[in-house]
Amino acid sequence: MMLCDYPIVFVAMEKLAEGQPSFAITFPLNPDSLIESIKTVGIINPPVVRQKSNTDGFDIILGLRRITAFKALGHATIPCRVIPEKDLSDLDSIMLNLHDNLTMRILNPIEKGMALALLLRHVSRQDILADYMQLLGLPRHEPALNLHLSIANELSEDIKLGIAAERISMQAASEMLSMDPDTRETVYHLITYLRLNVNYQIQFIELLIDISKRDSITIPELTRNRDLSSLINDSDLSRPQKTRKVMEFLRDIRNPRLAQAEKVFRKALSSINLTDGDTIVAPSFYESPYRELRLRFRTRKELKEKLQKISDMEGIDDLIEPWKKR
Amino acid sequence: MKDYTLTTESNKSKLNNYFIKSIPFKGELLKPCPGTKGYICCGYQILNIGANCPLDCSYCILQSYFKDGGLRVFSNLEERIGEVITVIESTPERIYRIGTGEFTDSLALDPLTKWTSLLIPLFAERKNLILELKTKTTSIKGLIDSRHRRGIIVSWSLNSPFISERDESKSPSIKARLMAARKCQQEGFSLGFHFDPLVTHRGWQDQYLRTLELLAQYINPKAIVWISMGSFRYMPELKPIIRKRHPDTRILDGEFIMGLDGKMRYFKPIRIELYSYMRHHFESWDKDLGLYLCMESNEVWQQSMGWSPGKTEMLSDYLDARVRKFFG
Ligand code: SF4
Repeated sequence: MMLCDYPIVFVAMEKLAEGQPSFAITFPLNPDSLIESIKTVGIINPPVVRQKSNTDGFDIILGLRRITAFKALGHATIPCRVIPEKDLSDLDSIMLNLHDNLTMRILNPIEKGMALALLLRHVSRQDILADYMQLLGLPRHEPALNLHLSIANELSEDIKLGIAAERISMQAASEMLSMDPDTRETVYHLITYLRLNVNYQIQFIELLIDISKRDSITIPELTRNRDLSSLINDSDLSRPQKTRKVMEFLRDIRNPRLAQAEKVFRKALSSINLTDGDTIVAPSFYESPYRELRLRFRTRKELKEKLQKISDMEGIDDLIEPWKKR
Repeated sequence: MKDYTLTTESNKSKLNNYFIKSIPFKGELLKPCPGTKGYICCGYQILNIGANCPLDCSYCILQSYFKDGGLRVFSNLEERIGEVITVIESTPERIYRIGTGEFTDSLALDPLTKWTSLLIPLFAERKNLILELKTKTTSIKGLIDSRHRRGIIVSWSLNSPFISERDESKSPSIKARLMAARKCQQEGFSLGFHFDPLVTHRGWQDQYLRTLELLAQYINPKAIVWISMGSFRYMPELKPIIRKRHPDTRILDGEFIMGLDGKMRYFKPIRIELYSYMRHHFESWDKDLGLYLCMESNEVWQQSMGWSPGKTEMLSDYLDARVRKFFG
């Protein structure tokens, strides 16, 4: 039988196993936007439920959000398409739900994890890797499967919301999985508060881990550092300024000698007071032995004078080997 | 195809239950060390005898190459070794410094594979070749049993006791390595030592000094062909693997920057400090140890060693001269 051949019946709300949405893969559920539409036009597409054979209850197959919204509007019954249990196995129910969702939208990573967790109850890991990962737009390998299962099962609702809303990248989420719950929440709140982009999120987490391991302190302890807290709470700074300063602060305590060399270089450069847009550029991390001089000149005489003047300047050694000055 | 289960006499307690696959090797058997952009390389030739290593050092690059952790030895080494000999014989004017310790420890599997009994008779006594067997183990029986000495350098990787205990935990202690080195020296072998990776950690100066003191206690410097130093460097992809597999390691604590070759290495003044310190102590022990730096820049050479070969060819010449000095 086709799905549309099954009858639409008014089902009492209390008969729907809403407490155990065993086939739901919608996250976040958030029925608010539907409530208005249902209020105006009612239910256009009735939910699909499965009538249990041994009780008078029903499993929700499709339309958990619609049911939740309808209930919130105070309805005692809801029109549903009812399929008897003998006609629809658990795996069929999951697949029906999955295909219904996939035809309408792209699932977020949490929903993919929920779908994989549901499938794992009925399908072997090998079959999931071979047949279902691609359906969900995921690479067919164990790490991707494990990551999606873990983010759906192990992270707090807040962090899952952050991932679903793309405020937290999957790479950051993967790093957060190795942290204890307290640390995860701290990191999550800072990332979302500072509105760090994907690149910054990873750098930020890496810096926190490196410093906390090196100094044998926890990440929550580290983030309570007085200077760091005052940067985070500085109301005179705009959000991008704050982000930049926080990242700089962490980089400086992670790499104090490099930070010191950069400071000496900047100071020396400003003290030699180059004009006309002339400047000296340091190589990345001072690793290459070459410094770059950018000069503007109009005549041979001017070039000669400038070169002479610059090479005679006092602070020039600090530009060449800034780490030597302590 | 033959599979081995590893239980060597000297490493029994630490290495047992490794499963080794014996497979034919299809690539090039002898390859120059790939070197690295922007740094001076020693011009070494790598002989591929196996892949992966049971010693599982926390800093080992092999963790990112061989994720399944399986050990592989090459079953067709004996058949194909002739290819290497042909290459060497066709260029008699050139000195080949060949090592087997790039993708595995040279001696860790020797009690099982008997690589030494295949390679030493073939490679020893040749005028334009030396074979360097680099190890952290004490598996020297195969060596000692051999009647050849000429053209063979047995070398040990050494580190501070702190790093050795924590990050080379499946390898014998520094003292055990040096006792094995002394035995080889007494048996007439020439020696090499590699302080690579040098790692900064709390009290590293005193820690490395302890190793140098042991070195001086056990080894006569006159039989040392060379001692290399290299500071810890790693591909960025290795860092999460180290964090995951060795969560308590301190090797990632230092100040790393991205080098000219895309690898992470210590900020330049830290490297200079490490090498200068080591050089000072080596030289106060003996002035003729064949000290050299592994994958370092001209500038770091100059500032820490007081001279620089300037480029790879010149470092090769320097090391070839050491070979001639020892083996004629
Ligand atoms: S001994 Fe060498 S090859 Fe073996 S694990 Fe350690 S670093 Fe890697």
